[in-house]
Amino acid sequence: MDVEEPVIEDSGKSGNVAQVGVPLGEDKEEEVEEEEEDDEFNDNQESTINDGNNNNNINNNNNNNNNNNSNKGGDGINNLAGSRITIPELPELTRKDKTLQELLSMMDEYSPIIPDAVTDYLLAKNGLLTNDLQVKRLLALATQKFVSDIAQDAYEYSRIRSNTVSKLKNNLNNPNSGLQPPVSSQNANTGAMGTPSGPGGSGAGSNFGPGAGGPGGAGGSGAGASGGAGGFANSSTGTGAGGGSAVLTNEKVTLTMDDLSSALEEYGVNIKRPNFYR
Amino acid sequence: MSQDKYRYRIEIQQMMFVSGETEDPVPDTLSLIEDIVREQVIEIVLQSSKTALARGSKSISPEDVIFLIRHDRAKVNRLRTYLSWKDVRKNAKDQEEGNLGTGNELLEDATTNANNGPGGTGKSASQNDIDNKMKNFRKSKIRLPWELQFMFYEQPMENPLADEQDAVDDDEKEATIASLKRLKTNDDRTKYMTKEEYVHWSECRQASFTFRKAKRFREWCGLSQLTDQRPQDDVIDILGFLTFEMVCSITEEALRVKALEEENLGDEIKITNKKKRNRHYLFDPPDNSSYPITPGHIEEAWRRLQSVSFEKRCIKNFKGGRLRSRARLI
Repeated sequence: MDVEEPVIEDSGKSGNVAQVGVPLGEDKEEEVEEEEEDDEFNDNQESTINDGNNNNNINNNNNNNNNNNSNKGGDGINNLAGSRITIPELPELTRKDKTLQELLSMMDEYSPIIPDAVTDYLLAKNGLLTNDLQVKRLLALATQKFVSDIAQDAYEYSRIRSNTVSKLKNNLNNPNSGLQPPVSSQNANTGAMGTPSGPGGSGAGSNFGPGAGGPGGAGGSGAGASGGAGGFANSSTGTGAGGGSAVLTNEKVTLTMDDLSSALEEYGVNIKRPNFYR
Repeated sequence: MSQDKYRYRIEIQQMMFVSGETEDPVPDTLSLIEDIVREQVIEIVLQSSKTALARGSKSISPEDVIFLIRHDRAKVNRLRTYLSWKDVRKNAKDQEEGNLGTGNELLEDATTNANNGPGGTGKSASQNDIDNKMKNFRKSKIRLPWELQFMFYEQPMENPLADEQDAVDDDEKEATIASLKRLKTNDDRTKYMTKEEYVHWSECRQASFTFRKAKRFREWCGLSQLTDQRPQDDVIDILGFLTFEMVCSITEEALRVKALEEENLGDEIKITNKKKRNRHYLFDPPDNSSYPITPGHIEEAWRRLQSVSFEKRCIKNFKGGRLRSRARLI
């Protein structure tokens, strides 16, 4: 408790300093959250674009040109050679970096998953004594990022292991027989001309109305080259909510030792069981 | 033996030339790069067969290979574009070959549209459909299973119209930055070329380890020894793409090393040059101004490319020491 008290005082003070208009009291936290979101949003808007205005102008012109092209039905090559070089739109490429000071001041409003008390304990245990709440929270945030990185890696490993995409597709394309070996997405893409076979394809189409029926119809003209693998990746994932949910909801993603050990292997930590225990 | 071992000297020389090397590099350098690339290919095949095995399938699928480079988003994005264009080409060829087939296609198309009934687009105009198809071939993307959207059970309904206005996400930003940089460097390299030189340069850009020599490639990296089943053609294509990238990146890094070295040694060289080279004679050795990359440069570049990234070092509390990790893919 001794540790916690200055913490609360600190946040109160700095909160006041940072935002003058914030009323103290119970509403404070919600207010703060809103403010934070606003900040993030602003950050996006403020992000600098290299010659953003110019490019936008050029792009607008290009769009006009393209429209003209499509109206005439002429090929773009002539136009290219004749009038101007098309410059693709430069998207927002760079986001303004935050200064350390900004980052630190954001820490007042942000509470990392690791509780302050735990951070305090660990810091004290390792011989770092500081009253600076911002620094402590920054350390906690860094730790959180580290752990979440590893967790995400492990998640990715579990995904490549189960390969959801192909399952979704299989399920969609032939719901009756789940025996087909997993088709890679690449294959399904190349075989996009297959017919949406039988009840599965057409059923999905009619369920989801024009939205899902559109691509299904477009891809449906089958040379039948690739058997049952039909439809585009887009359409199949789109309708996956209907066809694939039965399989998907059954399996819950759990963090297994296998995935974790493969993820940690990238970090140079070997926690693999020796082969003879398998 | 050595004749058999190094089979890609010409290709590597062309790739190095594309990424800024002089036209006749040292043979030792070529062999060194070839060794490095082969090692990387073997690493890729081994790792991806591991993930394929975890999934229960014996043959490597493209996702397994892409999975290995997933942290390099720009590269993944470029690989996707590469693959989608390959699709376009393949489909175009199919359509050209089988003009008869298209007739059947259209028939079936009409029937499927009829089946769809009110759910279908209603536009049974065949020309329209073909246009749609071509558009979709370009747009069709490879879905990678570890993407964010697959974290959720419910998938959003995808509106085909919304796809057209492609939202710029982080991946594309990164890819755009990378491609802009690449275009800039290529522009710099070719700025002072004559027409013939440029033609030669662009011919060299087509060099590939795998294109039309898949068999040689398989033998070269010992693919049959590495995996039981023959991987798909797409995997070979991806490997071809990646090997090109490898040679380019290591050459660029080596050039950077060389430039740095010249910067450090530059003063000394200048002084010696001033003393000696007041006059040029016929049998003088050539100027030091441009000399090819030596194996030493490649080794240094390799070391730099293999350095463990900062985030991964924190697991050892930044104390240093050797991290036991596998070779990084370049």
